[in-house]
Amino acid sequence: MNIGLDMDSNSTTRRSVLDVLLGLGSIASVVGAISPVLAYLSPLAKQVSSGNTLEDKNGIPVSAESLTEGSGLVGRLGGLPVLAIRKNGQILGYSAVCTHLGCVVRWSPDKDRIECPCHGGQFNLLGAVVSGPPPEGIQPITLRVEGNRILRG
Amino acid sequence: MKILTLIIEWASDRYPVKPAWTRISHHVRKPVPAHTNFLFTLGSLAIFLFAIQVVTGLLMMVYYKPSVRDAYASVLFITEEVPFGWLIRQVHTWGANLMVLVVLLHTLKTFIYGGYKRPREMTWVLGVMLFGIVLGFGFTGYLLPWDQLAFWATTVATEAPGSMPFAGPFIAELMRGGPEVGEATLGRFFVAHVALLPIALLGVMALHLLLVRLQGTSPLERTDVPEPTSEEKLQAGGKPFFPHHMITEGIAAYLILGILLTLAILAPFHLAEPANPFETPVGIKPEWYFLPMFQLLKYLPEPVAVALPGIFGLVLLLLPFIDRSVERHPKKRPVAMALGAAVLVITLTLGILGKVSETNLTLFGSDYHFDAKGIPHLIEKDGGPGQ
Repeated sequence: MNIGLDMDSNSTTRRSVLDVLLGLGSIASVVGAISPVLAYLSPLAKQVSSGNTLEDKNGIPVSAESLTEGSGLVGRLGGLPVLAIRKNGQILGYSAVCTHLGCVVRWSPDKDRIECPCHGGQFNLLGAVVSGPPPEGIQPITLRVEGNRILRG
Repeated sequence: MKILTLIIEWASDRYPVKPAWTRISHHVRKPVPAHTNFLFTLGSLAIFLFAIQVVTGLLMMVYYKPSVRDAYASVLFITEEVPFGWLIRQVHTWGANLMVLVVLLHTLKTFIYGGYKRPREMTWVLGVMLFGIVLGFGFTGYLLPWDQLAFWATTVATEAPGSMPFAGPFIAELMRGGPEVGEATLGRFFVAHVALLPIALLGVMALHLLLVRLQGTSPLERTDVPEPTSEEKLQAGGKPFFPHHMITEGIAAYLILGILLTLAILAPFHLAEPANPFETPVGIKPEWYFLPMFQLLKYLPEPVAVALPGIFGLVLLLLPFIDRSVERHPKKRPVAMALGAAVLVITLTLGILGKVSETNLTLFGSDYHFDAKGIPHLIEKDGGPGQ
């Protein structure tokens, strides 16, 4: 940036040094101003994960009795949505985040399938893709019952 | 400037921007008069500070919650939990104080140099409006942290207009949104602070600036002689606004940024206790720029004490139409200068009395207690009250 009015060839060198200094100073000012702003806006530390217990959206532990035979529900386990299904007396768990575009899947007892409501992806009880666009299956998670609570196994 | 030239070239191939650009560069390069000095950077400093207020204000709005239940906790959260949140808040608070100071000095400078006179009356009127808007920012922003100071200062300040005849009680209720300061007040003040006042400020500021650039900086000569042309100003030692005066403004901006950051780091504003409508703390005081008005309330009956600043504001707004003498140079305006000095001394005295009232100070080795009216009472060493 040249800000002089009366330029002559003799002062060009001195002027260009000043121009560089002015430019560097401006860049330093911008960086100095932006870095605290970026730090301020950076995501805050994640909420403390709820540990190993499956909880509902209000943070209350899901009662194992409420998960009746053949039904499924999505709760929070360690801060992430997890699908729990009771099938043949056993409790099966899966990461409830669809591998396609991140929607939360649900258990469809009529079809005996795990379904994604967004784009129709379907998974079987092994977590593998049966139909639809998901590129890979959902991760099974081992769950166990202790007292009336559902815990990571 | 190469990049700028390229952008203008690119745009002028597509849109008719050349005539506008020629006009803008003409007005930006017009010389400022030879008497222009650092005092003439105060206006642009106000804009610079406003920009800082916008940025820090937007950042705080990311986490601030305007409700009686959450406001205090959210400000505490910004200050203590969010990275650099303390800095953002302190810069905003100190920036507000510096902004009032800078606008005050800018007004004073324009008064002394006679810049409000014909043909720049409307620039002055818009400027006084801007001053009012800036005070409105301070008034509404003070409540938002919802601590004891904020709550009770606002209670007193919204109580005062209620004493005025006729519209008084209506105005008080309109400001509060109810019979007392509460949830409705916080909502109103928040909306005023982050939406209404910024829009008003931007609009009036744009007009103010437009007039300043169109008419150029006021000369010091009488108003009944033609103003010097650009050539005459250059010959008399005036410098082009861009880049010469802009460089001075840049230096001033860096200086005030340094002052602002130093104050924000070394002299932080602490939050008081959370607001408690059932307990008034002792010695409650407003921000320094409202202290003279606050002190006036202690000496005069309420309607008079409320009306006086209003009348003063109106006189200030209409000053160019009241003072129509042709002289601009301060040395040739003894009456105006004397009146101005008198107003300044009275305001400063009231402010200082407000500041020391209800405090104890040690002067010349003796302890004094200043009562509510700012009158000192000697405290005897044995603890008994003096004369």
